[in-house]
Amino acid sequence: MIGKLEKRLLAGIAILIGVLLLLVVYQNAQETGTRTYSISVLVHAPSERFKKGLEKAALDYNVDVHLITTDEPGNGEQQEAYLKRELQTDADAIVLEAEDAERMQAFLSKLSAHVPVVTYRRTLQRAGIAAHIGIDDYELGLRLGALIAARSPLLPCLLIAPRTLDSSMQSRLDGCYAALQSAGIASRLLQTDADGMTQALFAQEPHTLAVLDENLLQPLCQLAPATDTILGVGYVNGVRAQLESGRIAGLVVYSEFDMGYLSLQAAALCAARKTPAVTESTFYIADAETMYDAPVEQILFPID
Amino acid sequence: MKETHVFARVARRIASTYNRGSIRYVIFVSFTMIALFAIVLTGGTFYARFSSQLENTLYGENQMLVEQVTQSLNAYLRNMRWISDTISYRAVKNRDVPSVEANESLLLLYEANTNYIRNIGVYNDAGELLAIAPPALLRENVDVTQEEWFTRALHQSENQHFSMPSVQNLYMDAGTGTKTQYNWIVSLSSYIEITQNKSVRRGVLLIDLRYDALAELFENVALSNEGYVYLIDTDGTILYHPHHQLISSGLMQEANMDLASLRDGEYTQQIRGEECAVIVRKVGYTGWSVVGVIPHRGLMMGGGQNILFVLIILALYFAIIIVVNAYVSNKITDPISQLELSMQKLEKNIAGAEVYVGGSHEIRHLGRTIQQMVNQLKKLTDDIVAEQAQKQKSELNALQAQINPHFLYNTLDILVWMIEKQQPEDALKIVSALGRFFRLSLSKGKNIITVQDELEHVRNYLMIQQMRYKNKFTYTIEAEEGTLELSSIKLVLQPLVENAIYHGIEFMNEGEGTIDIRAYLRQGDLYLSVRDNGLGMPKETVARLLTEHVPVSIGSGIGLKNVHERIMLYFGEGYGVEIHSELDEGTLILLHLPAIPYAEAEKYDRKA
Repeated sequence: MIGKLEKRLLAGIAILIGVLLLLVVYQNAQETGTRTYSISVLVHAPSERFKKGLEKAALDYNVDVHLITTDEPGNGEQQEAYLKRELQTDADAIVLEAEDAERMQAFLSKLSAHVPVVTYRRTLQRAGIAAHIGIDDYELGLRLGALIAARSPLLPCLLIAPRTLDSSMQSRLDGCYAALQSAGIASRLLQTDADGMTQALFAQEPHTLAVLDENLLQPLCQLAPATDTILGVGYVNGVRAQLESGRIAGLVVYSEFDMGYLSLQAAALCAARKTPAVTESTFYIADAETMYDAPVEQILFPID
Repeated sequence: MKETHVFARVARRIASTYNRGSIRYVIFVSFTMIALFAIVLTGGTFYARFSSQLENTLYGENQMLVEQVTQSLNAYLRNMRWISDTISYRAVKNRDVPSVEANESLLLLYEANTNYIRNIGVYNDAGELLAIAPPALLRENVDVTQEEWFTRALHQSENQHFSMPSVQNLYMDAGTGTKTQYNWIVSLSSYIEITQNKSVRRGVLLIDLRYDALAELFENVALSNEGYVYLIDTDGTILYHPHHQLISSGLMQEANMDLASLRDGEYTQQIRGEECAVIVRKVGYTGWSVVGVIPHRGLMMGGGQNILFVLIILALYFAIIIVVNAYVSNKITDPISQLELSMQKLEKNIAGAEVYVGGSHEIRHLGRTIQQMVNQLKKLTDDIVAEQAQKQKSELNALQAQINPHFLYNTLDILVWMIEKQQPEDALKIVSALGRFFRLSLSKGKNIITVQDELEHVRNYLMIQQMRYKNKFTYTIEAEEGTLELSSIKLVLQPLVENAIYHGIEFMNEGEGTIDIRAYLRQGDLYLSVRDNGLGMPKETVARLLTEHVPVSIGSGIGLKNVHERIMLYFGEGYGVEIHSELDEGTLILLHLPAIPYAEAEKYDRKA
């Protein structure tokens, strides 16, 4: 003889038991399988240090990384096609350094925001961008300008930049101009690439040579007159000896390892529905004196 | 105060509800509360016990891992010191340095230990590089006498000295004269005595150990729940850390400086906002410390997830126990409820109720016992009813037996008188009436007769009484159509008529008395009425007539109450006798009977 109230009570308890069982199953599933995130990293010519950072973060956050680069720099169309493909393969998050910011901006604005996108270096104005891990290129230019002013305040400065100035390079240049102007140092811009660089370009009066692109450092060290002071931003492995020997008077450096690590960390946190901090890089001055001091030592000679 | 009052009131209310609740409710609530208490107690005890055991086990495993790393590191460092000693004694001591033999010995020892060693260099006390393996050049403008490893080796000659990890920056490639390799090393420097140009002088042996060989000891060690192991020197400076790069950049914080002064042991530290267990093991000789860091959530069952899991399981058990309790309490109390229900039915109608017999042995026994009691009660009631009916019947029969001789004696007197007066026709009428009267009185032993027979019976009686009372009264007998074949109880009119004659008319003058007898139907029921114009009765007497046996001095002696009870006995309480009487006006007595055709009256007769 079960009353109506008791029937309801029993039905309620049965539902409760069902819910509790589901909770147990859900919790067990969560505990038994550590979630592996699939994150696609679409960046422009990543350095080895950046890749090392990615690898470290991938280990720490259990990420399956798909590193994708375009065949040639600035190929926004190809990057867009790659991004479409990655989104179709159910990536949990994307790390994106836009090859063509405008194109990517337009493409992303059409997307629903279900896949978190972490922008690297180049910011994109789009609702739903989950985080930005960047290098403040303007600040980098300012630091270079300050370094020039500190090391070679009396000589005119030849700013050496790539032939094509993307937004990042333009920001560096603007920052550098601002610092030089403030220090009263005359400057001139030389846009060239490694192949087009000749000794004749530097044959005039002594200069301070300031390189805005780390890829131009090595050829410059070979071609520039020994009397010229070479300063720059970034580093590649080949210039460490030049730095040690004093051929390069100073570099404004940042840890690409950190950038790689933080980019993937941010993407993994976004995929796990957590909020990463927006992080900008920290810059350090590396020269023959400081290159074996922490943290520059770890930046220039990362422990593998 | 007010709150206490409210709590007391709520407690009283709960206690009252509990005490007044059904047996099922009490069983259910009691079992559930006991189960809840048992679950909480058992769950809590086991949880505390197992979490403590698990914590100890995990902690022990992690301690063992840190211990193993420490032992491996000790072995590694011992090995390095042994290599240093070997180089010192076999390659350098008692040999002129530089010399081909010394260089070859050095190279041999280097090649035998390339997995651990980057470079081996022998310096004299002036900082001059005398021998090196593999071949390399000392960088220009480098003054090793200013290097810490050099001065420490010379000043603390009894010890071997390990440096901090750093990028090797002393040597250049022997072939190119440039620096192409930038390797992380840990330098082991020690004081040696060298023979240079046949003279013994002080020197320093520098062995650059591969940092990656040292790091390998730590790299694949994973402690519980993202725990890790790292190495610090006596100042707390990190020698190895799985996140060395991030710590160096300031992107990650470590509590290394706080741990430098700690001895071997286990500690708790807040690291990056999280409480962590820290295991510290000192490394012999160097004073370095191997530090194991395990977030507490990885050691304890008390993590949010685990507590939630235990609570879910306990809640699940509790829910299941509630269902089982509901089933068990229902199983136990359902037969009692059934029994109670049948008792309720029994209260309403003892005759038709069946007592529930079911459930457990005790309840079945109880049901059977109650059923037996009910059966006995019913039997006793039936017996009492039958006894009462028999008693009434016996009483009637006894009264009838009393009147008949009296009535017969009076009638025979009349007959004698009529015969003496030579009135044979009248005597014949009386004899005939008397015969019919007695025949109808007997009615073959039936108690239910037709209205026609009852009227005929009373007609014969009145005829005889009219002769006896010398026409002191007149009478009429009328019956509506359809009433004659209806049923009546035998001898219900005769006592009324007898009462009317004896109490109403006997004292009246000749021909003044009237007795009117009628049979009629009203609202589907049969009414037999006896109306006289006699003396009538006061209301008090009328009131007593149906409740008390009013003794009659003469006549049949059958009271109105007897007639009333007999009608009710046969046909139920809705029927009986009504009396309407006015002093000096007369009396009307109504017999209210159901209109039952005589053919259907057999069952009522059997009842009698």
